[in-house]
Amino acid sequence: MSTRLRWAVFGVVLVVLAALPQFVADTFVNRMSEILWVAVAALGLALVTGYNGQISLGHGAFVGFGAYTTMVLTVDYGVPFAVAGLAAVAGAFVVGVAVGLPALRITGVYLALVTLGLAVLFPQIVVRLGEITGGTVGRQLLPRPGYGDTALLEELGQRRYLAQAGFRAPAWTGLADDQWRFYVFGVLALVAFMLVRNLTRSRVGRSLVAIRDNETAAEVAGVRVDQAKVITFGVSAGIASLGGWMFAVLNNAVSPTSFTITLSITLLVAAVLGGAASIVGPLVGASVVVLLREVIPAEQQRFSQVVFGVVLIIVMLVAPGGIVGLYRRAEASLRRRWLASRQSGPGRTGDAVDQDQDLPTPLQEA
Amino acid sequence: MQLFIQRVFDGLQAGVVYAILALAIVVIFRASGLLNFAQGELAMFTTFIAWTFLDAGVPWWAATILSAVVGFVIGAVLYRLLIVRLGGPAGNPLAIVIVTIGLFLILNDGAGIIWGANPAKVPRLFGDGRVEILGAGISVQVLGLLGVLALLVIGFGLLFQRTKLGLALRAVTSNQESAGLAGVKVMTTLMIGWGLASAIGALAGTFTASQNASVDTNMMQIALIYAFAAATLGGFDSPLGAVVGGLIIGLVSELVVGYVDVIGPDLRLLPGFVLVLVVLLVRPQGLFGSAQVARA
Repeated sequence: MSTRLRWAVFGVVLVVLAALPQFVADTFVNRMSEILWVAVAALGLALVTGYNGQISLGHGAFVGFGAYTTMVLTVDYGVPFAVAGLAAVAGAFVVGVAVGLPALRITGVYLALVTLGLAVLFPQIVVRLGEITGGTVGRQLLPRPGYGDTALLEELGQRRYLAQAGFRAPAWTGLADDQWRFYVFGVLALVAFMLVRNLTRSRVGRSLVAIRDNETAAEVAGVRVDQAKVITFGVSAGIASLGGWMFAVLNNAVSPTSFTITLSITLLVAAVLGGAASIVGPLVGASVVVLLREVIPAEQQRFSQVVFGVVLIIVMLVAPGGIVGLYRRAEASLRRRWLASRQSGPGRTGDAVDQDQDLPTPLQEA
Repeated sequence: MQLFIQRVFDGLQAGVVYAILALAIVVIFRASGLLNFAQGELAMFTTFIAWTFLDAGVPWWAATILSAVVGFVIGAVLYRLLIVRLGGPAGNPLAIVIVTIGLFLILNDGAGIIWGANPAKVPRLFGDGRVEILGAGISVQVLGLLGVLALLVIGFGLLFQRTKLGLALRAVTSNQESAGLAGVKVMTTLMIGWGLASAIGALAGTFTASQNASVDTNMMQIALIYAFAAATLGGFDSPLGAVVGGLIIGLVSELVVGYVDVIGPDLRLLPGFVLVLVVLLVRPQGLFGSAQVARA
């Protein structure tokens, strides 16, 4: 696709998505919102896996960190959602740097080991900090005793209204809550995807790819390898944490069972299935993962892990570039045939060179 | 003092399993330079197979050995059918890690589908007997497992250093191409390596089941993390390191959880996790490992 056509398709998809919530039921809108948070979290992971060539099995923990931070700050301390989101992202960045620092200095799969530990540790930490996090039960829109604007409401005899209202649509929009939420998610996802797109095409992104493909050569060429890797991991943790903010806003409740190793692996499935080294890959992967779970009937739900496992292995064997990689391959071969059938006229310039295509996929190289 | 001795033995009891699983991880790493994230789930799966034998009337010790044999076959077949297709050790480690995570999901869920999600009962390998050591009652089980562990370490030490197969395994890890040129059957050697690792893993599984007196689908997940911690601590290419690392991790976890109130049983995993971070910062090659020299 030429760049212009690409933008046109992008625009049409955007308009359709923006109009859709006006015509469909709220459950459908919420499902789309769910896809968006999974996509944003998977995007964070894709930044590490696709561009840095590292595997994190702990991004579920960063999602959980974001969700819990949001829930506790808004409900117990009356912090506005926007501020809580900023705090969640900044906090996860710091945690990501702290965890990435020891693991990323060494080449190899140590990041996978350390983050696997983090994924399993996270629910344990949540349970240990039960006074803040609500332990195994988790938190809902009710503040802990002694927090929130208790005194005022007690005085009014309205203790039961102490519950946080959650993320509501402002009156001026005239939107239902679910619609408002979807639009906000959409804008946030767009910002996150643009950020990663620009990051990967910047000097930082190019140095990441250089590190991924040949760390020694990159270092010799003057890339500050450690710094680039650690900061990228921090940013990726921050993006996953934004996904966590969206989780909390969507579900109005958090509990440790939502953020186990299963979530981390689901995010990996989404990123790898969609195509980790492409920008739209995580969105495609997240859609498939969420819809796949939807399609599998409730009584067969226990098979979903087997399905995910088989999907991971098949993708690695036949299409290491994921769905987006498959699409690119098909497009390239179609174009070759088309050019061949035109009997090679005068040399065409311009759109045959595609920005995305000159980046090799890390999983494709044997 | 009595409580301390008790805790030391509890720690060792936990550590034995971490050590054996870490040994499996190290064997695969030495033979093929890869990490198998499905190692724990493979162990769980073969333990269910052992339970099936037990259910059919086979004595538990015989079922344990049979499951190790089955484990050997599964490991070798997995290598031949899956890992080879991704290029083996020369392939992309990222893709192989992802495939082993896929195996993790399939084995975990598959075991639940085949054998049900409820734990199944198994007997103790060395019986319920107890002996008194320095005033603390220590179960014969722990002493028996420590004995088996010692045998395994000596066995694998001899295998790697004194046999032709061990030499082939080391040669393949160090440089697959040169090993092949020198006449080592690379594919067969690596299949044996994966088979051996899965067989050891199977032992780790049945030992865990023996300690819990039951087998369930999630029993090896925490153990796998401890085993990775043990291998990191001891050094990924050192069988002795894996075992010492496993015992240290078991001991430290038990003692920290026992004596530091802030951490307590809820955060059982934290001491091991912190230990790994510290090792990676201070001595990345581990206690007994050899430092990697990378050449581009």
